[in-house]
Formats: sequence, structure tokens, C-alpha cells
Amino acid sequence: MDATPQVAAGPGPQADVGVPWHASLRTRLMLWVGLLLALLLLAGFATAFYAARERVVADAEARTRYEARQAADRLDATMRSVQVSGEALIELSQRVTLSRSDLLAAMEAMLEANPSTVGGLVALEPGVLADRAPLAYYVGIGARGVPDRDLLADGYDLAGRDWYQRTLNATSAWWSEPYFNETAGGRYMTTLNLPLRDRDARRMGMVSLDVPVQALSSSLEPLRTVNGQRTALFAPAGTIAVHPERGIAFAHTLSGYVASAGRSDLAPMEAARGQGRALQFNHADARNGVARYSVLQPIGESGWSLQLSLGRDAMLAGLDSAMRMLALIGGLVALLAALAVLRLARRITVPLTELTASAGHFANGEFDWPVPHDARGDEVGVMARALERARDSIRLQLDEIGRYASEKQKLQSELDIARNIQRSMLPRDSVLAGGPRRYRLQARLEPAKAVGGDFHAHFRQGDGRVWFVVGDVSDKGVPAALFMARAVTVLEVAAAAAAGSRPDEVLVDAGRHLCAGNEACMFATVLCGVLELASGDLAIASAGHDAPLLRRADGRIETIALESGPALGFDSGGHYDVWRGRLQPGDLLFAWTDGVTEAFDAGEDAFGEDRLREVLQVSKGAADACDGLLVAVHRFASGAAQSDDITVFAIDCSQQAEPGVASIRLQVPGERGRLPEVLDALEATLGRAGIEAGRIHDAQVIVEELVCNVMDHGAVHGVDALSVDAFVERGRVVLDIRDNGAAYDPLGHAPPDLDADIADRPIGGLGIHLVRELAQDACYRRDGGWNLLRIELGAILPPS
Amino acid sequence: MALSVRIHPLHPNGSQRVEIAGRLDTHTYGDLDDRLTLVLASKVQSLLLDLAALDYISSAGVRSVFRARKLLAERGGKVVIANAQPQVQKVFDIVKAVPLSEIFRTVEEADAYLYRIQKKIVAGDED
Repeated sequence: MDATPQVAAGPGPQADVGVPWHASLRTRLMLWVGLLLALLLLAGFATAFYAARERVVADAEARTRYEARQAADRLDATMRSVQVSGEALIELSQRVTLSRSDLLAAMEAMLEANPSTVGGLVALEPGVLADRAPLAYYVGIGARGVPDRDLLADGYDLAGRDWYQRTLNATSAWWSEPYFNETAGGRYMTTLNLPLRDRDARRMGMVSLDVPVQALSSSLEPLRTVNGQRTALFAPAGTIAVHPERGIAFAHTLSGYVASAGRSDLAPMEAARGQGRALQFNHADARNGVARYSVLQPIGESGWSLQLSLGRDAMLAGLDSAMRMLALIGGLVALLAALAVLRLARRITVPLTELTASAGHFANGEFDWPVPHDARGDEVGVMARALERARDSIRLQLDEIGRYASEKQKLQSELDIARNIQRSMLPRDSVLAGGPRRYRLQARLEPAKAVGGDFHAHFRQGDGRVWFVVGDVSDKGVPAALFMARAVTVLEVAAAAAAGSRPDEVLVDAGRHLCAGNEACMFATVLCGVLELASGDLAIASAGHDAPLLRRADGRIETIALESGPALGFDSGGHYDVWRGRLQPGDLLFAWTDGVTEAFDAGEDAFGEDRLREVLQVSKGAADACDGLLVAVHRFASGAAQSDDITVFAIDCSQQAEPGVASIRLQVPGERGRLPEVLDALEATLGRAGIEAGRIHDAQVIVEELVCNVMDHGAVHGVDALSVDAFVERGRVVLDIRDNGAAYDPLGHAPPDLDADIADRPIGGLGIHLVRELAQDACYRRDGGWNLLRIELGAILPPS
Repeated sequence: MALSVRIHPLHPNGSQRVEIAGRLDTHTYGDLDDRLTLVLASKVQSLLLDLAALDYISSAGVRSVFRARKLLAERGGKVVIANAQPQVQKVFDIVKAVPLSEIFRTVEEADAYLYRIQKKIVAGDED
């Protein structure tokens, strides 16, 4: 982590390293682990929830059944105790003959002994008591809010009551439906009616015991405290005595409630109740769909039954809250786990980011940038070390490449130097004069590589002869260039040593020298010729080279019939034929190397001699022939790579115009105004002689400067006449300026200080300096009482 | 062919472009001197001599240019040369009447040079 600040300080690569958060490995790991964990937890919770739910429901249902049974047992006990009280009185009256008052007292004692009862009726048929009077007396327990009442005395029609007749005819006790009893304190009551018979089963009357419904329902109170648990109590005929809903108790029977409230879900219970059997069932409130589990439990033999029901929501309430808590905890655990994974992932991704940043620096060439985490033992460490190795390897290879590059550059610069050396070995174009004839020698050489094996050269021998050679060394490049340099030297030496116009001897001589020590077996084809300037006589011999073409003044192109000898570099001692001819004014001799005729276009077609002849046909002179041919070859090859060195060489001959002489005499200083005339004559003369414009300009400047000099200063030295003679001789422009003054050499003037500050420089004094600089040769001498200044200029401008 | 001098309107950068054509020699330099004297009498800062059509120049012509240059130098001005033909260029090279740094191949290059000079001078004045 120590590397983090360094990385942050780094330039450019940071941008590459930054991964958007949503694409980060870290985020993805966190999300996937969190998601997986959450899914696992969810599955676990779901399983546990359903198992627990089954269990909870089963438990709740068992508890409900149990509590229903318990409650029914309690009610049964209460009811049985009431029945026992009634049966005890009946037993007593059967066993003991009781008086009316005894019977009522016994009744009161029975009632008081049972806390559930609040009053009771004793009714006897006439003749049962000792006084044979009937009896119908209601014994009330005053303490329980119920007064005594003598029904006979009140004129109550007992015999007309259904329940009385039913009890008389009954063989066992029965419970009445609950009813509202005003005399017993405005309460709902239920009554246990017991028939009273003697031992012979004769109907003697009845006993009934009143129990407030409240006394029964109060024992159900504890059940209601359980949340979601409801109780209902049904009388033997189905009257609802206790019901959780307001206004239902005592107003409806169960079947009536099922019908009126639309509780079809309770229909099975009503059926079971009618049959007096127990029932446990799940049902959903037909009105609102609330699911419940109900147990119907008959209460002993009384005909009453108890319903205990528990809402499913209530059963599961605890489970739901517990599950919510568990889910919350699970979510927290998943979140914490995801965060832990995030932290863990940082331990991987942060080093990765830092390694990437280092890699970015390497990409920028900063190979000294440290690689963090390379000491770690884990996969990150392995990666860091791999990166370090890669970096070292790249650095090594870059060094290597750099070395190669510098070596190559060195080689290239050496080649460039070699190229310059080779080019400088080739002579410049020349113009040679022989009497009235003028010869222009032109050549062009384009090596295929930096240096090449083609060559051309010409050497003056004495005054009247020029040797020329055109050659092509086998192979290309540096070896060819080295051999070419030797060949040119050897040829020049051989030509210089040649006695006459014998190019065959030059070739033999040169061949002998080139053969010696030619271990590499290089060879050169050479065309060697010699031209007599005065006559135009040509002698040409070929050492394996193409014979040149001769274009005559009338446009005919002659192939020079020349038997070629062996190329130079092979066995010495070969024999060479010599072709002899004459170059006339208007003629053009043209030689080339095979780079010309064997230049190929994209379709592998060679340039060939026919095309060469076409170009030659329309050429105006030597320079035009050379340049035109190169243009034609390049156009023909049209971008195809040059396969061989290309050399062209041409000599043309022209008759010089009448020996151009301009000769004018001027009086000094009176005829200063005739200077333009002198300059015009100079221009005309030199122009006719074919001198180029730049040279004529220089000549004019020289003449103007010298004439003005004499005009302006000559009188002092006694000058009164000057003459200007200009002519072209041996390819040079010659200017003779004479004056008849005292001996005076204007060239002796000190040169002006051209580097002085502008303010210090005199405006004049530049003329003579110009003359000295423009002239190639300037010499002063006295010539028969005249000062003669002879200025010479080359006919061709040196390259600028 | 005689000398012809064409003086352009004053350039916003304070330079005066003068086209000189034909021959500038011992017979014609006086014409140029006369024309340049008029130009230099104004407050012109520098001269741009466009020699595209000047075919011939001798030391007399060079002296005219040199004279103009000296005159302008006294007030910190410049004479720059543009478009000289090779033979004319050669004469200038030989006599060094104008520093090489003030000889340009095109009028645009010369203008750009003068603009830089003027900016330098203006900046110097403000100092």
C-alpha cells in the first residue's frame, strides 16, 4: 500500500488504470457474494419458516383441542353438579316422606350448596303430599338476588306449560334453552328439568334448577384471554348462549346464524352439533376469508356444546415477527459478508491497480518505475514478478534495438558519405572546343542503391584528345562501388598512358590491372572511346558493353557496328575491335548501361532499345538526350522499383559560330556615354557563341566596372583611349581591356573591408572587387605601351 | 533595356515596397537614387526592394542600394531585398552590400521579417 501515493502522483497512466466502479472486480465480487449469501439465507429461512409454521400450527391446533376438552370438562362438571343436586332432592323425596316445608327446606339447602344455582322449582301433582294438595313453589336464593314465589298462589298455569308436560313425560333430566328471566334478576337462565317419579315410575311432579348462563360462561373467560381465541356455547336446541360477536348470543340458533350471517363455513359444525359429536376443522370465514381452526366439543350428556376457535393469524403472529427478526439479521449478515468480501477484494484489486499503473509507466518508457508487491507470496506477487521480468526483457530488447538502430544509422551515414564520394568521382558535364567545333559531354547516373557500380568518366589528354568511358560493374551496392572506383582509376591511368587513339589498348591495359587480385571475381563491362577534338574523329572499343548509338545531324540513327571483347576483370589478354568514325556538327553519340534498356514496368516489360531510339530521335542535344531518356525511363517504370543502376552518356558536336569577337575603341573620357553600346555588342557576341545568360551578365558587369574605372580615373594617368575586345576561346570567355595610360594595375587595389559596420563603409570601391570575384582568371600586363587587363570566364557557370 | 522603378503605397508595417526592373548600371542608378531620395524623405521606416524583374546590376547599382541602406540605418531602418535573380543575387553576395539575413526569396518572407523588426522596435520604444 506504500506505493499508492507514488502511483497517484504518476501522470497519464492513471487514466487507464481507473476502472468504473460498476466494472470493478471488487464490486462484482461483493455483489455476487452478497447475492449468493442472501439467496442461501433466503432458502434456509424459507425452509425453516415452513417447517416451523407446520409445527406451530400443529401445536396450536393440539392446544386448542386440549383446551376445548378442558373447558368442556369444566362445564360438564358444573352441569353435573347441578344435576346431582336435583337428583339428590328427588332421591330424598323418594326415600323419605317429606312434608311440604321439609321438601322446600331441602330444596333451599340443595340450592345454597351449589354455587351455580340461583333458584329452583318443585312441582308436585295432587295427592303426592300428605295433605294431597298440589305443590308448585319456586325456591329462590335471596342472597343470589332471586325471591321465592308460590306459583299456585299466583295462579300460574303450570300444567299448561310445554316444559312441564315434557318433564312429566320425560324419563331423564333435560336442559332448557336459555331464556330471559325477569323474576330472577333480569338475567339469562338455563334450567335443568328433572321428572319426579315414585318407585313404580308414576309421575309425581318435577324438580327444576335454574342456572344463570353467566355461571356457565364465566368458566370460559380464561380462554378468551388467549389472543385470537374465541369461544361459543350452544344450547341443546342450538340456541347460541355465548358468542364473540355482539348481538348474536340468545338472538339466534346456530343454524339461524349460519343462514343469516352467511357463515356457510360453519355448516359442518352445525351438523356435528345436531348429532352430538365432536368436530375439529379448519374453515375460513365466508364473509372475509379469515382462516380459523375450530373445535366443537359436546359437554357431557347435557346436550350443550362448546366451540373453541383460533385464528390462523394469531397462531402465526409470533412466528411472523420471529421470522422478520431473523430475516433482518440474515440481511445484515449478508451485508456484512459482502463488505468483508469488498475489503478482501481490495487486497487483490488495489495491488492489481498499482501494477497496472506501473505497466502504464513502462508503456511510457519509464522503465525505472518501481513494481510494487513483488515480494508478496500470493498470486499478486507472482504477477508482479512476471511484470518485472517482462519489463527487464523489454528494456533489454529496447537497448538491443537502439544499438541496432544506431549501428544502422552509422552504416547509413557511412553509405551517404560513400555516395557523395562516389558522385564526386564522376566528372561534371563539360563543354570542349576544338577549333570551330564545340563538344558537349553530358552524363547522368542514378544508382539503384546508395552507391552503385555504374560509372562514366572522361579525361583530357593533351590539348586535342578526350577519352571517355561508360561502364557497369556486375552486382550492385558497396562491392560494386568499390570495384567501380578501382575500374575508373585504372581506366584513367591506362588512358593517360595510351600513346594514340587506341581504346583497345586502354581496355587491354586496364583489364590486366583489374584482373590482378580480383578474388571476388567481379567484372565490369566498359565502353571506351577517344575523341579528337579538332577533327571529331572517334575511336571506340567495347569490353562486353552495348555499342553506342550515333544520331546523325539529319536524324538518322546509326548503330555502331562494334564487335565486343571480354568484360574487364576476367582473363587478361583479350582482344578488342576498334570502331572508327567521325563526329560531325549536329551529330550525337549516345551510350548507356543496361539499367536503361532493362528497366521494367509493372508488367515486367523491358524498356528496350526501340524506346531508347524514339527518345533519341527527338532530342535537341546531349543534355536533352540524357534528361529526356531518364524521364522516359521513369515514366515507363511508373513507380516500379528501380532494379539496376542507370547511366546515360552523350556527346554532341556543334559548329561554333564565327569566332565571336567584339572589338570597340572608346575615347576617354568623352565617350563614356557609349558604354551601353559596348555592353550590347558584348551580349550579342557572347549570345551568338552560345554563352548562357548568367555568364553574359557577369561579363557585362566586369566590362562596365573596368570601363567606368578607366573613364573616371584614367585621365589622371594620361589615358585618352581604351579598347574592349571580347571573344570565346577554348570554351572560355576572354575579355581584353586596354588603355594607353601610364602603367597601372587596377587589380592591385586593396580589397574593401566588407565586414565593417555599415556606417563605416565607404559607398564606393566595390567595382574592382566585383571584377576580381566574378572573373575566373584576371591578369594584368603591359602590351606594347598599353595596359592590358585580360579577364577569363568559364563558358559554363559553376553550379551555385 | 532601361530601368523602371515602381513605388508601392506605404505598407502598414512602415515599409515601402519598391519594384526595380530592367538594368541598374552606371547610366541608370541616378534614376533610382532620385526616386529613392523622395521616398526616404518621408518617414518611411524600411525599404523592401523587389528585384524580381531586375536583369542586371553593376557596382553603381549596388552603391544606390548601399546608399539607401546607410541613410535608413541612421534612423534605425532597414533595406531588405527580395526575389533577386541568380546573377543579381551573386553580385550582392560578392559585395555584401546587404547582409545575407536581409535578403529573401519572396516578398512575403521579407514582409514577415520587417513585421518582426517593427514589433521589436515598438516594444523597445515602450520600455
